[in-house]
Amino acid sequence: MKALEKYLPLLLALICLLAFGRSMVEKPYAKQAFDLNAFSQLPVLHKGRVQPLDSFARNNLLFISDKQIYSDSEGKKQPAVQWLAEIMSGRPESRQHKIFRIEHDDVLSLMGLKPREGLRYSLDELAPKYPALIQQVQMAFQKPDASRDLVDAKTIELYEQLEVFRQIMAFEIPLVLPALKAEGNDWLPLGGEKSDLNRSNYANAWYKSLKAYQNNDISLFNATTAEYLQGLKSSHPSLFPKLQIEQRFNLSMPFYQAMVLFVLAFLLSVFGWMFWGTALNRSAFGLVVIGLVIFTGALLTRMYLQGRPPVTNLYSSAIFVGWVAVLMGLGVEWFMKNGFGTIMASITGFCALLVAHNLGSGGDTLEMMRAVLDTNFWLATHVTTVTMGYSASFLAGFMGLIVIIMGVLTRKLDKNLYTKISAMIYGTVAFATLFSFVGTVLGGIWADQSWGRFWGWDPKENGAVMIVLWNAIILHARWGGLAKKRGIALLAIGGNIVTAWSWFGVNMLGVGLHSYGFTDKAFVGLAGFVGLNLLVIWLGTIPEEHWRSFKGPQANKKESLSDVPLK
Amino acid sequence: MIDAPAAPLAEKKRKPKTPLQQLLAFFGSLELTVTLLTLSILLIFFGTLAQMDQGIWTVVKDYFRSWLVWVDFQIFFPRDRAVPGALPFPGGNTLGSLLLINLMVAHAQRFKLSKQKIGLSVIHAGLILLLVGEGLTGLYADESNMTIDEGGSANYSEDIRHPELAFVDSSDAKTDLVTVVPESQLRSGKRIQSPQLPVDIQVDAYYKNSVLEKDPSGAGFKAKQAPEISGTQSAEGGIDMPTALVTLFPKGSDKALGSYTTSVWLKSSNDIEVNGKKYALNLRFERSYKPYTFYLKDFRFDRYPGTEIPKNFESTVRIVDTEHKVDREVKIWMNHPLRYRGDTFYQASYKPDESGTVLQVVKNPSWLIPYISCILVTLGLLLQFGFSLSRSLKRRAKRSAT
Repeated sequence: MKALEKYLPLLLALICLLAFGRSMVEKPYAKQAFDLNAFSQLPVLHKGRVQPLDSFARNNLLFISDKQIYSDSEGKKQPAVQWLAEIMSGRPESRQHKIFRIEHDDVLSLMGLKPREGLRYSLDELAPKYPALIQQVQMAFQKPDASRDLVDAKTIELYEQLEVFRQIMAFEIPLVLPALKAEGNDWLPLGGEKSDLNRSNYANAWYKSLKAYQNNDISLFNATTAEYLQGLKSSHPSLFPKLQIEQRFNLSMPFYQAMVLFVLAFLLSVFGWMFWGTALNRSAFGLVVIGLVIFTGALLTRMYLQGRPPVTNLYSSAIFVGWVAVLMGLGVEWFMKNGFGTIMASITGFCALLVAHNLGSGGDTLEMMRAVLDTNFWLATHVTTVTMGYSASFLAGFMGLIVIIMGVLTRKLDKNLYTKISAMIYGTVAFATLFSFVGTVLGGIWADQSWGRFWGWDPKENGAVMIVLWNAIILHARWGGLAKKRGIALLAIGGNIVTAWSWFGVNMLGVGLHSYGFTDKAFVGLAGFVGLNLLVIWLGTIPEEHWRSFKGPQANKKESLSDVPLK
Repeated sequence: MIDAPAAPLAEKKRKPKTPLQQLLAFFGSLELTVTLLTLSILLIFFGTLAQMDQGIWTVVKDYFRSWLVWVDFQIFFPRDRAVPGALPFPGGNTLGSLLLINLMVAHAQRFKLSKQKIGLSVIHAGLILLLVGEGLTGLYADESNMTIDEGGSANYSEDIRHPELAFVDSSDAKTDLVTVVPESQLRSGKRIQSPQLPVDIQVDAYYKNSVLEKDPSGAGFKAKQAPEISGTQSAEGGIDMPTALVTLFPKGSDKALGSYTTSVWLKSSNDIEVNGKKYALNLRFERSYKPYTFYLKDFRFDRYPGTEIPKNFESTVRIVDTEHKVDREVKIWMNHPLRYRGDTFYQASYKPDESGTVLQVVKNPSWLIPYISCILVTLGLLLQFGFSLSRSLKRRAKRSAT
């Protein structure tokens, strides 16, 4: 037992590294007879971005089905790229896979279907009522945006999902024939005119592969696909190795792996309060560090693939918020050395990645930037700093949550730890003030540079300045002695609400006009988060002497002990 | 750990004696700071919610550049049920001024030149500058749009937030004589009389935003009132298109000359004749004429391949300025404005059929102030927190040494 306790951190770290290493070297799609590894690396152009077929398949299946895998007719789980190969090659079973997710009862009854487990339906099941759907969609489109109801929105959603399927079947998307020049933009879809020989070579390869797939001719498919991919490597060298890297990135799911590590680390820390304190704390710390390494690698890979600073859209802002929070959490650990920072890092990292996961279900997260955002300078300065401000505000807020919950509901908080955490919250708020202020003003300067208005009072700007003001309130309240340890913690929790508002709330203003906006998944998530924070704030209004940690003889003893060395 | 730099201040506060000292203590107190900052956050929050229905400029005027604002309870509820009532709330001018006073009194009371305090002073000097800069921008900044067709030219810009009713007298071959009535008068509903105007005007209806619909009875158009473009919509480029229905009278008479529909939608003007003189009557956006002319040589709208996602907008413009002897070509594109003779030109939009460009023209004499204040505050924050951090690190090192 002693030996296990001693070597546990090392052992756990090794296991985790091995698990991650395996996902990096394992041959992709090895279980499939068809060479889906080569097939999924083929370059296609979709929504302005050259990407491996693997990404196209995953993002579109995700859009249709809310998952990146599907169940085949035998109920076996299969990868998205196989689904795509089946549609493109016109295999009949592609029409029978239950992939369309329909949640709303009215839409189901419109399509003449009954709710079933998983709520997923096949193209063949939807086809009979397609004309009825089109009729509804046309009526919905005729209404002005604001007067559409939830059924309209859900009907349009189903129509758009079917439309993606149809476009893939008709070879309208993605554009699969590469531009002649390696850097060119004039990609073509299959089935269009192929005016020159090179293009028809590409097209021939595609037709041959798809035909082979349709006829279940495994060896022909594998040979043609591999040969085509090989040919592209010499004719379009600039596409490689990005295609392989992106495919590997999809397969290894680094953000998911980091999430798992953060959950493990959190559990270990919690157990560490009960037994094997040092060993479990160290193990947790090790796992968070490994998680951070994977996280960092994934972040850098995304930056390399996109050729951009880390934050380019809402999804990547959640990723970056998580990354900075984990880094700062480990910084807190370096200061306190008692496991608290590790817990903070694992919680904030996990939550941010969970938010990112939910944001990522809309489609391609490496999407191209709209004109006004197409500036690496401002993305790198303003967007990055503002996001770091969010991150620091959340970290302070989560520390507030933990300290209040610990103090009120458990006996684990003592006066010494309370003082230390409070000081940590203050330090983090100071960081948050710096980053959110600088970030907000840089945003103003960007606005001045791009449309001549430093400050326009638009919702996004207002949200940013609210974070700055909130942090300023915390600092001034502390300096004026208006808020002590408990007050600072409660204000920091309030900071969670303010930050969540300006991060997500302002994006929902347009949605808020619809009566059904309030049932939107994102809105429910935000409301839940705000509710949770308000609940803890309410908990924190209980005077400290009634907290479990500070009640009874045990707590008083602790207090007198811990006060001595400090003074 | 990092320590509160100003914590001793609060303890040192002595009981003020005279009423004046009491008053000063109140205006310099951190309690007031926290209260004002809290009210500011609420005001900004309300002002954000209000933009779901009202135009961004209406909200800026009512909430942020006002002394008092009535906040409708409706903004907190879904729009499909009507909620009456409103709450009076201090406006942006009130809160901004009080914060300025608070800041200055606090610094006057406790100003001491010391290494610990210098960061705080720099931060707050920067903030004062920022507040003053926003005030000046509100007073003096001017924004307008310049629309140029490809191959065409323009020597004026239009203020899309301020329409005006114009009488154009083109009898002189060289220059037009233009008399205008501003929007504020059009909205008043009173009969408009002025010695400069050729006629008296009765405004029968004024729509801040409108749509024109084909009149089912005949060939003409009928104007209909439309809801104001809200703050969330204007982010997507929507602007209000006003219409005024007017009846004209000869000066001092009650016998109507005729009723006219004037609208910024209409490109052709109403031709009227008063006392043998011809005028073109139209509602247009307020124009400001420039002493130079811009020719649009080319407008480009690049998209990402295979999509409609905009990648870049770019205008190639030739500036001809006889006064300053300038004749040169420049490119204006996203995030790359042109600064010329006190105006700044930004690529803002384009004509729907991409046949022309829309440049935003901004005159803001105080544009440099935010830059300076940003540098000051950042420096101050770095000084302040850097100092605290290094102090706490030192203390930590000392503790671990003993």
